[in-house]
Amino acid sequence: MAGDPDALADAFRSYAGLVFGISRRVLNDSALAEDVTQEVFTFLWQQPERFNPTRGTLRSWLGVLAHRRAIDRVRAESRRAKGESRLDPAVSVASVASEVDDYLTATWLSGRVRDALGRLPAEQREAVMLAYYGNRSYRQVASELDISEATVKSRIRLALKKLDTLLRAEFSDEDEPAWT
Amino acid sequence: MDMNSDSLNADVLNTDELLSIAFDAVTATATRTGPSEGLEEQVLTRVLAGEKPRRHPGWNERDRFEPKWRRADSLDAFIKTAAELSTLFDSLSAGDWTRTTRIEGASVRQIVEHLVGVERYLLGCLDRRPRLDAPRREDHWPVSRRAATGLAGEPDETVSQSWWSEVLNLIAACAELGPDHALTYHHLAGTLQGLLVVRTFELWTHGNDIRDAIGRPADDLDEARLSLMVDELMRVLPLGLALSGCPQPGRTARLRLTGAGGGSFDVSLDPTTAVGRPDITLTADVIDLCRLAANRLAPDALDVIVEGDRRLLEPVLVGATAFAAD
Repeated sequence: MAGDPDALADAFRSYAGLVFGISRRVLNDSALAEDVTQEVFTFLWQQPERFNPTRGTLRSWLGVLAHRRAIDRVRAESRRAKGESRLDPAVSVASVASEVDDYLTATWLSGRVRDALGRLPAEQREAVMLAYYGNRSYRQVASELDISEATVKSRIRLALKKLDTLLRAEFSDEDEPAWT
Repeated sequence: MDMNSDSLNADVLNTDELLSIAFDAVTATATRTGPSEGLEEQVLTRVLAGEKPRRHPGWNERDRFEPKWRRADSLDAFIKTAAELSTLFDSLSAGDWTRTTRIEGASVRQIVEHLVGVERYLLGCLDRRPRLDAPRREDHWPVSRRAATGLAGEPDETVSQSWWSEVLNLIAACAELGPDHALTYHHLAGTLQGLLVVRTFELWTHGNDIRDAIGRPADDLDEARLSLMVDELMRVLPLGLALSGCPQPGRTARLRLTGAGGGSFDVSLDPTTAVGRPDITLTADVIDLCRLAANRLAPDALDVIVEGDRRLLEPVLVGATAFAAD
C-alpha cells in the first residue's frame, strides 16, 4: 500500500462499500458516512503500517476503523448537542499504543458477536458458523449439513438479519465496556 | 476443519471471523445504498494530493473515541509502559539480544522470554489460558521456563512479538473484567487495578535491566506513574514487614520521598495496627526507593536521611523489598 496509488484504488473498490455501510449504520447519515469513508482511506494511505496482517484481514481492520471513527462522530455530535466540552482531557495513550486501540475495539466487538451468535436459532447458527469458520462456500456448507444450497443461503440470510438486530447497540454507541 | 454440528461453539471462531459476520450482518441488511459514485474519484484525488479529509464542522482530534476504561490510571500506566518497552525491543540490534543482564546472568532475550511467561501466567490466573500454564498460583517461574522452551530456536523478533501479543491479550482481559476484579498476585489479595500497578513497576524495572545491559541510560518514569507505584508500595509496606518476619506492632514510619511523584506518607509497620505518630522519619529519593523495592538497589546503598528511632530503619527497608520478584 505504501506509496502505491493503484493499491489504494484497489482497496477502495474492494472495501469502500463495507466502510461506508458500517459508518452509515452507526451514523444514519449518508453524508457523514462518506466523510468517515474518506477519513478511513486517508488514514490507510498515510499510515499503512498500522495494519498488521498477522492479526487479521485488511477487511476486518478497515471495518474496525470505520466503526471507531463513526462512533467518534456520534459522541462528538452528542457532546456538542449537549453543550458539553470534553470532560477528561487527561493524557491519552493513543500516541504510544495505537495498536492497542484497534485491538481492544476488535476484541470487544468480536465478544459481542460471539454472544449474539449464541442467541440465534440452532440451525441458523450452524449455517453461519460453518460458512465463516474457514471461509467455506455455500456449497460446502450445504454438503456438510446435507441440505440444499438454497436452504443454506436462506438460513444465513435470516441469521444475518437477526444478528443485525442483536448487534444494534454495538453499532449505535449504546453499549458500555466494563472498565469505567 | 473438524467442526461439525455437535461441536458448534462460537469459541472456535477467531476475531477476524467474528468481525466478518458482524460486518456482513450490518452491511447486508441495513444499507441498501452504497457511497455516491463520485466518492472514489473524490477520495483518491484528495488523498493523493495530500489534502486533509473533510471534517464535519466542529470536529477535531480531541473528539477521538477513547473507551471509558482508559480513564483508569493503572491501565493507562501499564499500556504506556508496555508500549515503551515494545519500542525498546524494536530498537535492539542482534548483538543486544545476547547481552548479559544484571539478573542472575540472564541474557536480554531470556528476560523477554520471562516476560512472555509472566503475561501468560497472569492470563492463566484470569482464566484466559489453560491453568496448565499456571501450575502454581504463586510461582510464575515454571511458566517462564515453559515459554522459553516454546520459543527456543525462534528469531528474537518472534520473542518480542509473542510478548506484545500476550500484553494485548492481558489488556483485553483487564478491559473486559474491570478494575475491581479480584485476584491474588505475589501473595497479595487485590484487584486488577492494583495488579496493573505492580506489573507496570515490573515492566519498568526489566526495561531498565535491559537498558543497563546494552549501555543505555535508565528511563525514569513520569510523575503520574511514579505516584501510582509509590501509593501501591506504601499500601503494601505493612504486609511486607510481616511477610519478612519483622513486623513492628504499634510503630509508625514517615517516609518523605523527594522528587516528582513523591510525597510524605505515614505507614504503620504492622498490618494489624493502625498508623500512629511517626517513630522514625526517612527521607529518600522516590526513584531510589522504587529501585530498592525492585531489588535493584542494595539497602546499604540507599541515600537516606534518618530521624527518630534508627532501629526501625532495617525493618522498613527489608519490608520494602518483600515483593520484589524477578
